[in-house]
Amino acid sequence: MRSDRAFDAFAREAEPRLRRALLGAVGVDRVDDAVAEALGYAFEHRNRLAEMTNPVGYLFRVGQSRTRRRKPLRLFRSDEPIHIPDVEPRLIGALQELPDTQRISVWLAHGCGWTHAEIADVLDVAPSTVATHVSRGLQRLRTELGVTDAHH
Amino acid sequence: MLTIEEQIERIAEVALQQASTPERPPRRWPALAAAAVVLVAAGSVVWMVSDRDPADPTVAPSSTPTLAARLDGAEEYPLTATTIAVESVDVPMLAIEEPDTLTVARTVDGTDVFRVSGLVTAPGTKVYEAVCAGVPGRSVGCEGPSLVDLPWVLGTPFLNESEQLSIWGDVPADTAAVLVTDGEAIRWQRPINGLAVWPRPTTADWTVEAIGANGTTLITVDESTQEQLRTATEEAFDPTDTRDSDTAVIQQVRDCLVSNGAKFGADNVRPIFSPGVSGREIWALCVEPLFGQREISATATNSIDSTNMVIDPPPPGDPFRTDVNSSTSTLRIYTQDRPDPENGPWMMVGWTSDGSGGSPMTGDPTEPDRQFFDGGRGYVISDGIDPTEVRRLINGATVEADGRRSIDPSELPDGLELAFDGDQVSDAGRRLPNGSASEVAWWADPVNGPFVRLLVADDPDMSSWRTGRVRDSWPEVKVVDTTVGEHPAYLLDGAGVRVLAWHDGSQWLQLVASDATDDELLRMANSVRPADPDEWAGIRLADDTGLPSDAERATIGPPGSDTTPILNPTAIGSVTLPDGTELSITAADFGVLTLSDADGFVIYAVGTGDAGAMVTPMRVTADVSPEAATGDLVYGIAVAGSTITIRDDATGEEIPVAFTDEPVNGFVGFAARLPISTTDATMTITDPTTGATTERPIGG
Repeated sequence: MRSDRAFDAFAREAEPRLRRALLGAVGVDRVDDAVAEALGYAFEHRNRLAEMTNPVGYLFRVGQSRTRRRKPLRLFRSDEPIHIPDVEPRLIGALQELPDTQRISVWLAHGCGWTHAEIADVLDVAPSTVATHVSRGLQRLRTELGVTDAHH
Repeated sequence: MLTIEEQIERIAEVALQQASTPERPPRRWPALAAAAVVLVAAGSVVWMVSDRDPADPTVAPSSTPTLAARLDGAEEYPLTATTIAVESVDVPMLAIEEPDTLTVARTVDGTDVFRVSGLVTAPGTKVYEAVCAGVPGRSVGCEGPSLVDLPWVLGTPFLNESEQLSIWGDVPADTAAVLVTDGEAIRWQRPINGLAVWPRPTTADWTVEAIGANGTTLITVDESTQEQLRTATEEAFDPTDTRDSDTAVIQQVRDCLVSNGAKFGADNVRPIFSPGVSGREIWALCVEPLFGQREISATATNSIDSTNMVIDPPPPGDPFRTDVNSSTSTLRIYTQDRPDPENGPWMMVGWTSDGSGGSPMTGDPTEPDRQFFDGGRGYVISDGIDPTEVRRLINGATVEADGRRSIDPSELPDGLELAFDGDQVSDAGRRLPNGSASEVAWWADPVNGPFVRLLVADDPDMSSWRTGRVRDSWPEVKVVDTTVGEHPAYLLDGAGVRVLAWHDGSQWLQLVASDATDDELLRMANSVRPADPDEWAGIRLADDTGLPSDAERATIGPPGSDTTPILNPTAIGSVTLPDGTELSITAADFGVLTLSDADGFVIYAVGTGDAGAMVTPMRVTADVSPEAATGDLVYGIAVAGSTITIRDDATGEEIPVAFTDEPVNGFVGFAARLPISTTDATMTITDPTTGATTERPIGG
């Protein structure tokens, strides 16, 4: 990834996935900053990035660590209730209020489709720990929503 | 109703769409414009404008519409994999069926449809390679390559419209979704193994698109292209073409298949191969010399042992994952996990959300979470054991009321014995959760080590997560240095289960045994060698890292990767929390840290990555000791001399942090207990050398 053209291609491909992941980690109010920070870092270190097996995961860490999130975290800009078809409205609030590690793990696993191994890599924990965070996060969401199990 | 997981996925999609639309409060623009004018003189206008410019290239969304965007507004017309008696798929023109290509699926209206490929012919026609599709027992049509219809299905590139359905049996392999526009009706569908079906268009204004996972269109067919295809069909199939050799061609292929081990049933159509033999490879061997190199556009995966399972393509909106559905369970796996069509599926026992058992599922050696040895390279670990026999046992296992599977030990093949029934019992006497799956049983060859493990899901009641003892004595692991060949090795011994781990120069390998002696394990380890491709293709038995997540101290993996061994554990020291609790902290190779109570019970183990240079605060919930009803623990390791402060975000109150007395390898351990009222806190670490300060939020 030594040429600017190659970096542009990488950034175009990586940006949507990076943005999606960071959205759940830092919230909508800081996601632009986080993505910009991460891509800025990526450009500065593009040669090093080219050697990585999971550059998006690495950039996720960069974006997350360089951005102090606003509290409380919001996934949507509007403070009005968000209606998404087939989605329990209270789930958004419950998701926002999950502890960071659980929310990020759940978000990356089920909102972004990352493997536990990929999440573990960016969180500096073992995949089994990620599995625990995801399990606990989902259970907490189910408890908040008053459902016993939604996985069939 | 969508599952929680699916709802989260949808929330992510909608949130991303909204987040990608820059916020532009109109009333603020005049003020910003005025500010920009003022700031020009100060030279700051570029920053100011670019920060607010919706066209900022660093945050501009991709110009390529995503798959989700392509399907936005369309109604799903779902197709579900199913199985029917294969004899009811009647394809009169099918002379020889290509192995493992039969796919059967059911529409949302309850109609079964199928596709199959092979050599087809009909009275008065030449023999062709073709894909056939239809409704079992009722109707069928066949299609040649590149959407060119065979002579007997002139009129549409899609097959079998007599059932008021359009059936596409040769959807390109890279298709994530088929989008069908019929006037005002817009439907989409995930094809299954190259099979898609939708209600027959009612208008002339129809378009069918095969769309890839990245949102690009792979093929578009509409009324005009249909006409072109009709013309091409008429030109491609010369009615004067000789048919004299057709019978000879079919017989030649059949003879070739038989000479390579195939047997034919009474219908003389379907070749049957012995287990472990790749019928598709033999098919290619016999067919390509006559018909040229073939492009396999769709790979059937329903030939695996589980007869009620299919692997769908990645669902729209997320190209990275796919679902494995069976009649009893759903497992989300990822694109890279999909079975290797050459080597066949790996096998593992899946799980259900209610713990009631599961069906065999496929995994892939590239998925590090579910591999025993590193993927791509096979290792012979159990010479003399027939994988087919073990597979038969798995499929025949009895599902107990508690979700565990049991197998009559008397049915075990010679050389295998049931090592233990795998209870992972918490202090409360319940099976431990394991995040995704819990090991419930494994069989060990007393000489050659483990061969297969069974896994079931967490009981949802247990998913609230509670740390517990794993087989009671697992925390007491003895580590002995030894060697395997020229490689350093470690023997971990705990509770009668012994793990021999060594690095063969490229990766960590391990053997686990219950009864084997050290010498037996070492002898076996010295016999381990890379499998050649044929052996590898025959092993096909997947495994999980298997050991409970809470026992990750005993799992083995390359440094800094998915599973982290705790080797050479070294006691850093003990920590006395402000509330008087005594905890010990043990560091080990690769930055793994464990926190243990006074009884030696490991509360938590964590890998710190980067050789411990990065402090990762871990928070352990109070359910470790529920009777204490205290706040959560926070602990980690840090460079010796670091200054660490933790403050409650809400109150600003500083929370006391305890350190170990003496540094080990330049690191110290620390721990703190958050007040039970604390929901969020921030830890500040000051590097003793550089003075750099890092803030890390402490969530739940």
